[in-house]
Amino acid sequence: MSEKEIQAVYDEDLPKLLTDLGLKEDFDNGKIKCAFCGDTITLENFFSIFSDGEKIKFACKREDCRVKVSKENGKSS
Amino acid sequence: MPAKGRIAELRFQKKMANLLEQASEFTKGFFAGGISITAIAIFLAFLWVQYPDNVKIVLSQIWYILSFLFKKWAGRRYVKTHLEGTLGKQIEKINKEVHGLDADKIKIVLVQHKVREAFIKEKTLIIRLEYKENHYENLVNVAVIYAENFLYRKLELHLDDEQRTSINLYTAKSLLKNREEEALQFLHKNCYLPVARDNENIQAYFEKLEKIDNKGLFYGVFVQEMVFLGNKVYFKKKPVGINNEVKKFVDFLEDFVQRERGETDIKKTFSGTNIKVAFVLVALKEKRELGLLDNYVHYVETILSQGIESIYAFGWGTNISFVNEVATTIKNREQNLTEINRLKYRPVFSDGGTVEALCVLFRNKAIAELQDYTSVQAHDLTKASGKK
Repeated sequence: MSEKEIQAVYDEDLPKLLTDLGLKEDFDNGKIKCAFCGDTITLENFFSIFSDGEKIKFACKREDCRVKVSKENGKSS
Repeated sequence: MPAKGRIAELRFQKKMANLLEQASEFTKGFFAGGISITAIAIFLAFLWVQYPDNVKIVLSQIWYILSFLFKKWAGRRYVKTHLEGTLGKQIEKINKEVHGLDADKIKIVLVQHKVREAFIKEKTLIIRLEYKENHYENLVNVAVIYAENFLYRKLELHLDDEQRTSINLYTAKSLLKNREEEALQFLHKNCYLPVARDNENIQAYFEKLEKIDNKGLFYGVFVQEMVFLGNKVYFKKKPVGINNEVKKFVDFLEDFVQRERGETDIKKTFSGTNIKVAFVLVALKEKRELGLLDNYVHYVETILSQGIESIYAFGWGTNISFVNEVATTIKNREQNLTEINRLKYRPVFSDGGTVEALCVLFRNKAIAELQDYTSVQAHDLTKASGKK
């Protein structure tokens, strides 16, 4: 039986990942917004990170945004 | 000759002595730990191959305990192995119930480093995995993403958005079966309500699927028929109207599962354009006691001649062995049928009672090609206006 990969970042590893992606400073300064509702992304409300063309986007934990992420993304493997 | 006999006897005695000595060494080694590491390794490898999900669940419990000492290191492993193990077990169960679905397992890839260029190039979606204290959120998020994006992807069913959303959400809920109440509440609040709150169709559809599932027919019949339908759709142009037929099929299943306990006088066939199903209820006491197998065989012959493609023989409780007998007779006598699955399940009745049941699925060897709904509708209209 084959496997489908779901990529995930553990809470502990998020700052490291953001540093790798060159977004840590923007994140810390509150410049990262949710792609769906426009809310500022914080460590508390962060839900997912995905690429859209050349851009890296974020989604927050709000119910509507969470649903949009699983509907419109997840085509990762 | 006596000398030869004596030599043979001595040889035999020597062999026996050797064997006893070896057995004694083996036993000593086993209890002293000499062989135990190899034996344990073989045993663990066997478990890993045979029951990977159960092993992952056990491992996850070890990581869980260790995570109190090593929060980062073991906590990360707990979350990953628990997700893979618990959801993997449900997926394995679904694969047993649905012939031909071949749903893939889930592999959680924990991303710790990712270069920006690679992230953009790979079109990656990375979701957050919470600490173990909020692990129920992880279970829901992964179940929803899996149901939305992977489970039915192979089917290419061209369902409408409401049907797709309801089926995916219901599947996510069923993947969380036997999980703690927190997970179901989280799913309801964060995934179900945002899409169903203002959409009565999704609410109604979800409720229908739940009723069907309570009677054990969601995967075994509904999803199974979606797989058969999906097989017909391959390499064909998009069949406009397929969603209407699926809707009617769900209504038919809902009526069927809502019948009173013991009621057999209910519509048992669905002869749609592309979905053609019949249920055989092996429930009549007198038929069982008189061993009237022929009645069932004749009924199956009749429905086969009407173009039915899937036949599900059901029975429960004391009827199970008779269902087996009926199914085996049908299998042996009907050369046009193939037995696909023989599944035990547990329907839940409206009074809360539950009983062991058996469902045997037969598939007609002659399956019709995908029919175009537009021509069928036109044909129906012509008939309705009297232009025969």
